Amino acid sequence: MRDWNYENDQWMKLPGHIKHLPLFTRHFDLVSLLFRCLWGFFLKALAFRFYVRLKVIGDFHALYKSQKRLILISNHSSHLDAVSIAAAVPFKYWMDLYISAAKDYWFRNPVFTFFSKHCLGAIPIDRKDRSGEAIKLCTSLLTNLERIWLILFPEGTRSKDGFIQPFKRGVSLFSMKTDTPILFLYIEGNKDLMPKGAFLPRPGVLKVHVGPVFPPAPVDELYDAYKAWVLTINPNAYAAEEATTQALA
Amino acid sequence: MLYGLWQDPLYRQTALILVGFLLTLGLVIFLLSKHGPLMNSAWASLKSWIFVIPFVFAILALPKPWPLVFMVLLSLQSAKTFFQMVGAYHRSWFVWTTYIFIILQGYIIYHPPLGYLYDLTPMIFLGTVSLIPVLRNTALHMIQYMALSTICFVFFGWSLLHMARFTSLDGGILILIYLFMLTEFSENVCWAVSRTFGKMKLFSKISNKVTLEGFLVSLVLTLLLAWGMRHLLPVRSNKYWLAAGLFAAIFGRFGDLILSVIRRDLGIKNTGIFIFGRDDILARMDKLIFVGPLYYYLFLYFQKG
Repeated sequence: MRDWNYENDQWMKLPGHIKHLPLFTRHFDLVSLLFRCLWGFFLKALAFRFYVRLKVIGDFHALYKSQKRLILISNHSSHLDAVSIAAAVPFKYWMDLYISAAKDYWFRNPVFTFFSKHCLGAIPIDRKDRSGEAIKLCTSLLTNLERIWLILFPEGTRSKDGFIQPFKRGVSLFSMKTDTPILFLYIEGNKDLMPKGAFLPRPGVLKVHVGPVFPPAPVDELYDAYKAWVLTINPNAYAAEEATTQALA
Repeated sequence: MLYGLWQDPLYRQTALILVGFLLTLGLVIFLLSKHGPLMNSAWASLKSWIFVIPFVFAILALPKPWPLVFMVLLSLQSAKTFFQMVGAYHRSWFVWTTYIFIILQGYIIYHPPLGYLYDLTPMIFLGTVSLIPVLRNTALHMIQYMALSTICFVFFGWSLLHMARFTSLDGGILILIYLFMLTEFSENVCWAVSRTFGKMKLFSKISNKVTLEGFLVSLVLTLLLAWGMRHLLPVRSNKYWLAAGLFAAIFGRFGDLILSVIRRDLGIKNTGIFIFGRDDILARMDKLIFVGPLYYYLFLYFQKG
């Protein structure tokens, strides 16, 4: 007699903070769906409409049709960045949107963990972990999911002065290992609305620029291409000497 | 200002005694928890109740239908955990059908003229889940999912919601609390005695927690507790508390063992923690899947007699 096939790895093998990620089973928990909808409504219909006035420059719809798997990279100088990108992406694509989030901040207590899991669909990245668990997690999702848009901040941490910092090599690693193209995004105004250390954002205008899709490439090449694109939008995005070097080149 | 059942002095006293007892016991066990694995384990088990019991009393004291809504939510959460445990949670058609039927059961309890449908729902459920493969035009693993959904619904929908049926009887909330306390007490005594003094394992291939010594001691102590707390029952005749004590000690163990069989077959110890303590929600509810319906029907039989 053939044994029954209990496909319970998703819920029995994974630790609590990553159970929401479809590592074994492509399935959305009803709790996640409900909270994602509520969060989506709050973010798009209220917070990023009346309090922070979000302007999206570019077209996510066309991208969604042509790009099933993407790594979305952006400048990072505020805790507002991940939610700004989420607010910029149309809600109907949210279930394919994943955000890499620092485990020590976004998963620091049960309330944050619940919010990160169910509202953001966050992938916990342990910045102190040297065993490569986060890399395995992201690589597994990028390889196995038919559709995934993964938001990564290649600078690794928030910029203190608001200028874009050199990229860590993780983003290139994920991209090249899984053959996933990279979408350039640039968030304008994030530092002014919620600088590092601020508890709550200030009201104001925030722009999310949607850039070109770049093929998998080594980190230096990627950084140069991103920098060139960002400088066409904001010549002051990089610290003075960085911008001069780029202009000379 | 007191609301709902808080106006009933019996309810208030029961809540205060139980919460006070748990807090005192909790404090003692917490202080002793560093002195060995047994006390440490007892603390792990008890601490969830210290947080949960006041919340449960607050909910159950609410006017109708909130206690019923609470029981239906518990039933849904148990069903969800069961589906996750047996690896059927991603089969949304089966999961949703089960949820809908559980909610339907809740509505039937809420609306007494529909009461005759309650015991028919397992049959209607079976008919409905059997149609899912046909509607979806698929056959692979479908016997498995139909069977698991039916087990889930019968145990955590139909059976467990008999506890909610007590809420529609006069003094029913207190019966519910009474049965819940007896089954919990019985399990913990059986487990503690089995672990400390137990030699003769009754079901060694299913559970290490049930020994003859543990079972007998828990039976006697549960009967004593049932007698001691018989004032919670609307009728204080001996047969009511005696039946409740016997059912909690005997059939409570059966519910526990049935879940152990499923867990052992799946190779799972538990599916996570329930609130803060030891074990998951199924470990809290499994004792009631036999006790609930059996005591409910016996209670009605006694009432008619």
